[in-house]
Amino acid sequence: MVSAGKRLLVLGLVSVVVFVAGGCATSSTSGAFKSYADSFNKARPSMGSNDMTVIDSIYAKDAARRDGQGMLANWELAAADEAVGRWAESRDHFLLADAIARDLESKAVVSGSDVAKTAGSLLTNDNTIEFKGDAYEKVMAHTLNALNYIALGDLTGARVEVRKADEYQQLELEKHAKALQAAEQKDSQADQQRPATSELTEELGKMDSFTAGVKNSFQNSFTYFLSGLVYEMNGEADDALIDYRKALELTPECDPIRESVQRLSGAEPNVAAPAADQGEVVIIYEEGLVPEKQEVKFPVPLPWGSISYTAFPVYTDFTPTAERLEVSIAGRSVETEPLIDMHVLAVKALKEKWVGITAREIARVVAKETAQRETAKQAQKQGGVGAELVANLFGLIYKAASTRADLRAFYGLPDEVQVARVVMPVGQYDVRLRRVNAQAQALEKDVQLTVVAGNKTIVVVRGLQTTINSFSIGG
Amino acid sequence: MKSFVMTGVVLLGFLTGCASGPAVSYQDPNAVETLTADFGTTDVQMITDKMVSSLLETPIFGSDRPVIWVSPLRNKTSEHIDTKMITDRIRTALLKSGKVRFTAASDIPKELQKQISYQNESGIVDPSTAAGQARQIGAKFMLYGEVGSIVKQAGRTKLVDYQVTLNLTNVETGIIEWADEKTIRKGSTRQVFGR
Repeated sequence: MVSAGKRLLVLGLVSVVVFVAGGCATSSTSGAFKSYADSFNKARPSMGSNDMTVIDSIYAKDAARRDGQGMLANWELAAADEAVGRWAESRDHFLLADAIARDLESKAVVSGSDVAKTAGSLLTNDNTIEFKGDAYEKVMAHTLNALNYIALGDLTGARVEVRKADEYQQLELEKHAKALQAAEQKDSQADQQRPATSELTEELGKMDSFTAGVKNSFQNSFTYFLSGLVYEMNGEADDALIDYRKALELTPECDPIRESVQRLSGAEPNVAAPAADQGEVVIIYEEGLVPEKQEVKFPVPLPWGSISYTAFPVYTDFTPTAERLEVSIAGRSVETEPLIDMHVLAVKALKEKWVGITAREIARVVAKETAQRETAKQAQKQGGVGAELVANLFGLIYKAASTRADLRAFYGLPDEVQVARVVMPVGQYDVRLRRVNAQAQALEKDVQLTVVAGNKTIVVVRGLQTTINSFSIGG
Repeated sequence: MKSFVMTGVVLLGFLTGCASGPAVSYQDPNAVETLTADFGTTDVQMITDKMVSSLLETPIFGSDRPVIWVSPLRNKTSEHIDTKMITDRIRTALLKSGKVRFTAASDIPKELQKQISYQNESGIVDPSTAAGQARQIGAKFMLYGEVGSIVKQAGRTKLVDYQVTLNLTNVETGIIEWADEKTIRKGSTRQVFGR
């Protein structure tokens, strides 16, 4: 009777796997046996290039989907477009991704399709579960889209996007107030349940110390800063001050933000608003690309002599970004100051999901082992000991091949965002931008900009491995 | 028992399947639309009805059919709303009342300028029929306002309060002659079980 139950369970799971795999067209960038990080690595060298052929060929198919994979593809395309100043194209991709995100968020709490995908993932891996994106990714998607709207001269659109970003941050804050506390407790329980290997423990230890001091993954200073800037440009100084203050809470050492708060609150007489014949230059420097998740995979010896496998996503590269952008303008030289370290937020977001990942991995070990044992038992009944050996061998190979960590994330995001603000007299200026990349190469770019009385000229600088793209907006 | 489990598995499988092409049908544009809690055509309709009837009840227009300049509503919500759709509907309904007129200069200033230049400077249009220069009528009133929203979410329930405020100001005196507001509360609740 027990055996019949197990057979049904295995049959059921296999059926769901078949339905999940066969019911929809498969994603072109990730799947049960396809790593998303590998797909992005093919796109990575083309980020920052005006030639979008490679990136389009990787993401266009997924971008047409109305699921999580479609949302991710549209995010990546939006980031690639924004890196070369294709603002309207970037905006459209972000809007499409947002529409998908809202569809996913309005699904039933217990969604039949999600349950089926999760059940199906028991015999494969987390890559077959719907990608829903992390809150920090959604917040950043709205923030970067606000930048698109600013570049397109649509301040109302920019205002909508910063409000959406704020709503996400607020919602997550309320949702996580209790959950974060509970997750910390569960996390220590999961630490005890997790199959212990020195490699995994070491990686988790590094992730813990890397995110020490960061309260959560979903609030970031750049979003609040840009929000303040948009409110200021819309003539809403009170709202701007509120968001600059929130930004200052998260990055108290950032001078451009402290000065913004002092100027708008009138708290510091020495930090005055630009005079009647002055305007302001705001430099937003988006540096690099957020590092990819890596897979840690290891065998799990089982008490009855069999072996199973388990895999976890981790971040392993913790090299700090020391790179600043030097801005030379009319004999003055300023350096951008860090506002957001996306790498830290990404690691923190992964840690916040750790309990669920661990629980699913444990369930997967049990499910795959049960499936293998049942298959071997049936093979033995039908074809004797030889057939059982072959079934066990295939089972072992399948377990090893199907055990893969979910490495999906919005990798087109900048690794770090930095800002600088300079008040200048009205006029036209030649500005020199200089950065030294990770390979110690000095890259320079000259940009012309116009400062208009009472206005803000925004210079968006995108620094990628060997390129430096810059765009002057407004004035 | 076996057949029950298998039926469940098959149903689950169908639930995961991709949707085929959408079913298309014509529908009544005046019917109440509640697909999502987002700002929609029914909201535009409710706002227009309320604002137009409120405006037409005021005695400020008199019988000389004053000219009004319409500014687009400021969108202070967290949704990309086409606020021009609201002002266009209000303008159309007010025009139909016959009590007021509207200047197109608030809508298509460049096109008007271009047309006047074309009629007077291109040498193509009969000068006796060309529109005179500096003959446009200045607006007596300005109609402007904003749409704001407050979003609250707790558990599965999301509430959105939209508030639309409209003002009519006398351009010469700067006096706000009329103002009204309309609040719409919309709620949505995620299902517990579903697709």
